[in-house]
Amino acid sequence: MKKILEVENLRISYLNNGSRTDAVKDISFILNENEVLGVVGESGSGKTVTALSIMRILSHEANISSGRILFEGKDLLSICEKDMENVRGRNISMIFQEPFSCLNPVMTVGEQIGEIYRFHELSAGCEIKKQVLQLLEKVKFAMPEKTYDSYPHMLSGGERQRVMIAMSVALDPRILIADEPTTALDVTVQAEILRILCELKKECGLSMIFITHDLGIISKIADRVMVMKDGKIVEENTKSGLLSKPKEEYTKRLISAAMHLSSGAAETAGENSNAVIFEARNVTKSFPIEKGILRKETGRFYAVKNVSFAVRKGVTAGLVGQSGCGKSTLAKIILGLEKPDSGQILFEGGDITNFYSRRVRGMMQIVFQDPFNSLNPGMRMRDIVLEGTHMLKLDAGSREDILRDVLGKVRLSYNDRFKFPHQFSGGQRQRIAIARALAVRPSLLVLDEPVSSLDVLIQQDIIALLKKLKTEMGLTYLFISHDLGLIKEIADEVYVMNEGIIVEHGTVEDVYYKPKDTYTKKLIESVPVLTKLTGGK
Amino acid sequence: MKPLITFGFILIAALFVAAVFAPFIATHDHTAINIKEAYLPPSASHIFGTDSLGRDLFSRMVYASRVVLMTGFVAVGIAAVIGVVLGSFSGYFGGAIDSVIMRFTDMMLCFPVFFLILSVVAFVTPGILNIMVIIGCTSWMGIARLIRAEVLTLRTKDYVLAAKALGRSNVYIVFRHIIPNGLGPALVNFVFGIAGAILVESALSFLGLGIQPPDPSWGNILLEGKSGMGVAWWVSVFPGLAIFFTAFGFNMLGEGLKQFFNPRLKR
Repeated sequence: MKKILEVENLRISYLNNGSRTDAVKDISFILNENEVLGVVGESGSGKTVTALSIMRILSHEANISSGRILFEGKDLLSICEKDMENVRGRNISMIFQEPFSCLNPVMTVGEQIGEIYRFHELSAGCEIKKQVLQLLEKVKFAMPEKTYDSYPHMLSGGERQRVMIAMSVALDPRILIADEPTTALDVTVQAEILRILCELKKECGLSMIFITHDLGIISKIADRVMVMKDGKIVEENTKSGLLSKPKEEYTKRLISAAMHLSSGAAETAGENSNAVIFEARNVTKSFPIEKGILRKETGRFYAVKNVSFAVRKGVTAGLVGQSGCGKSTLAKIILGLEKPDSGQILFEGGDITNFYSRRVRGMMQIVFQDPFNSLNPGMRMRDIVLEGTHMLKLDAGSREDILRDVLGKVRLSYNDRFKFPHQFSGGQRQRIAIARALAVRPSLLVLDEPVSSLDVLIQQDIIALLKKLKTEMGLTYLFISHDLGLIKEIADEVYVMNEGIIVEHGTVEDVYYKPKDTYTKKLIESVPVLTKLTGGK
Repeated sequence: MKPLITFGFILIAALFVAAVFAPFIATHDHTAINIKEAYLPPSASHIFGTDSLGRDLFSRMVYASRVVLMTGFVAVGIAAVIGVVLGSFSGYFGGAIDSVIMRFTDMMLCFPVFFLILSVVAFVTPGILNIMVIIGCTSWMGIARLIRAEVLTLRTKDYVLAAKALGRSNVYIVFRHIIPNGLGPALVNFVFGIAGAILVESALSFLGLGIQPPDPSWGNILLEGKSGMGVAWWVSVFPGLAIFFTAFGFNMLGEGLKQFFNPRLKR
C-alpha cells in the first residue's frame, strides 16, 4: 500500500498561564492510500489537536515545536500559507463534531456549497448549481433541489452533517479528516452518516482519519486503529488485531469497558417486590409554539403525550429514547420542577401532582447529565453536598457526620471538602452531584443521562458505583439515557420513548431481543456493537 | 492595551493613596484663607498655586479626592444594590413580576438622567450625602437590565434545578445561586459606573448644585476657577485634569476587569 500522509515526531505545545504544556508528545504515524485510520482516545488525549495541526488550523496559543507532516512528499509545516490554502479542501479536508456551528445561518445550503467552487474559481455560474446538486445527491438527499434552497436551521442535525460532508468532498480531496462526526447525533442518524462515509470512501478513493471515542464505531468503519493517551500513541494495530489481541493494558481496559457497556447483561433485581413506589398516570405536557415578533401562539408542541408508567420499589427502570423525545421533560415533571398540563403523579400511593412537600422532595432526587453545569462554581464541595440537609433540621455535628458518611459512600475524600468544583475532574464532579442527592436519604433517584458527558472508563466507574449504592442503600432508580448499551447494563425493565410517547415497555430481554415496535427495532439495529473478534482476519 | 490598563490602575491607586492619607500629603491647611496670597501661580511652596482666597490648591484637591471617591463608590453601591435585586428577581421569577419591574426600568430610562437629577436636586438641600443618594437612585437601570439578562441564562442551570429538587426556597436560590454567579459580568459595569458617577458629581458641583463650599470638590473648584480664568489658569486646569484622569483611570480599570472575566478579549 502506498503512503499518502506521514507524520513524523510531531510535538505540539500550548501556552497556558505563561508556561508551556505539551498536548501532543512526539507522535509519528502514517496513513495509507484508501485506508481508514481510526484514532481512539479519551478527551484530552490530543486526538483533535493532531487533526487540526494536519490542516494547520490550530489556535494562536498552540505551537508546533517540532516534527514534520509529509503529504505526498511535501512538508505541510514548512510551506507558505498561500500554498496551504490550496491543500485545504482540495487535498485534505475536514468535518467536525458540531455541524450547526460550522454552517453560516444566513446563507442557503446551495450558496454555501457553491461558494467553494466560486472561491477556487473552478467553474462558471450555471455549472456550479449542477455540481452542487450532484454533490447533494451523493450524500443521499432525497430532494436535492429542495435542500439547495434550505437554510441550515431548516435541516436536522444529521442533514446538516451531510451538508458538511458534501462541502468537504466538493473538491475531490485525497484525505478526509472526520473529528467525532457523529458524536452529537442520535444513534439511528449516526448509522446513516457512517454508511455515507463508507460509500464515499469507495466511490472517490478517499483516505480517512476518523477520530472517535467510541470503539463500536471504530469496529464498523476503521481498517487500522491508533490509540492515543495523554498526547502519546499507546498502541497502533489493525482493527482485528487490536480488538482481538490488544497489547497494552490501557487498550485492554478501553475494550473491556466498551464490551461491558455494549453486551453486559442486566443483573437480576435485588429486591423483587411489587410495591409501586412511583407512578405517572396519563401525563401530558405541551409548550406553546410562538411565531413572529408579537409572539403569537400558533400551536402547541407536545413534549410528553399521555404517558403512564410505574416504577416498583428496588427496581432500576430504564427510559430510553433519542434527543428531543421528551425524556428530560418527563424527568422534570416527575420531580415537580415542571407542572404537567394534565395527568397525575403518585408517590407511594399519594397524589403529589399539585403539591410537593419537603418530605416528598427529599424522597426523590435527581442527578443531571453535565456535572460542569449542575454544580454552582462558586460554592465549596461541602456546601454543595449539604445543600439539601436544611430540611432535616440538624445540628452542625450531625451534618458533618452526614457529609463524612455520604462522601465515603461515593468514594470522595473528606479532606477535599473545602475545594471548589473546578478543582475536581469530570468523574469526581459527578460523584459530588450523586453525593448531594444522597445526602437527603432519598428512596427514588432519577438519573438523567448521568454518564453521557464522561469518558468511557469513568462511565464504567460511575455505573459500578451506582450499582453498589443501589444495593447498599436500597434505592430505586429511574435511569434515563439515549445509550441502549448502558440501559441494558443497568436496567431491569425498559421504557422506550419516541416523540413524547412511550412506544414499548418490557423487561430488558424482551425489548432487546424481541422488540415489537418498529421504532424500537430500528433503534436497536442502529447501535454499533463491539463484538468480540476471535483471531485475525 | 496592556500598558494603558496598567496606567489606569496606577492612577486609581494614586487617587486612593491621596484620599486615605490626605492629611499627610496636603502641604497646607486646605481651609486656611490668606487673602494676601490670592492667585499665586504654581511655585515651590504652592505646587498647584493658590485660589482667589489664597488657599493652597494642591491641598484642596487632595482633600477633594476623598469626596470624589466617596461619591463614586457610594453612588454605585446604591445603584448596584437596587439594580442587582430588581434585576435578579425580575429575571428569576419572570411573568408579571418581570413585566412590572422591567416597565418601571424602561420608564426610568425615558428621562434624560442628568435633567432628572437636576430637577430632584432642586427639591433637596445640596450636600455630599444627598448627591450620592440621588446619583445612585438614578443610575441602576443599566445594571438591572444586565443582571436580568444574566439571570435568564442562570435560572435554567442544572444546579438551580437541583436546589429546587432539594426543596430550597426561591429566595435562597436567588441569593445563593443566582446573584453570586451573575455578579461577575456586572462588576465591570460597576467600575464604569464609578467613572460616570464621578463625572455627574463634578458636573453638578460645577453648576453649584452639588457639593457646597467650603467642602472642596473638583467640580466646585472648577467653578471658582471659571471667574478667574483670565488671571489664574491653574485654578481651572488642575481640577479639570484630575477629573479627566480619574474618569480615564476607572474606565481603563473596567476594561482590565472585562478582559479578566472574558479571556477571549485578550490578544
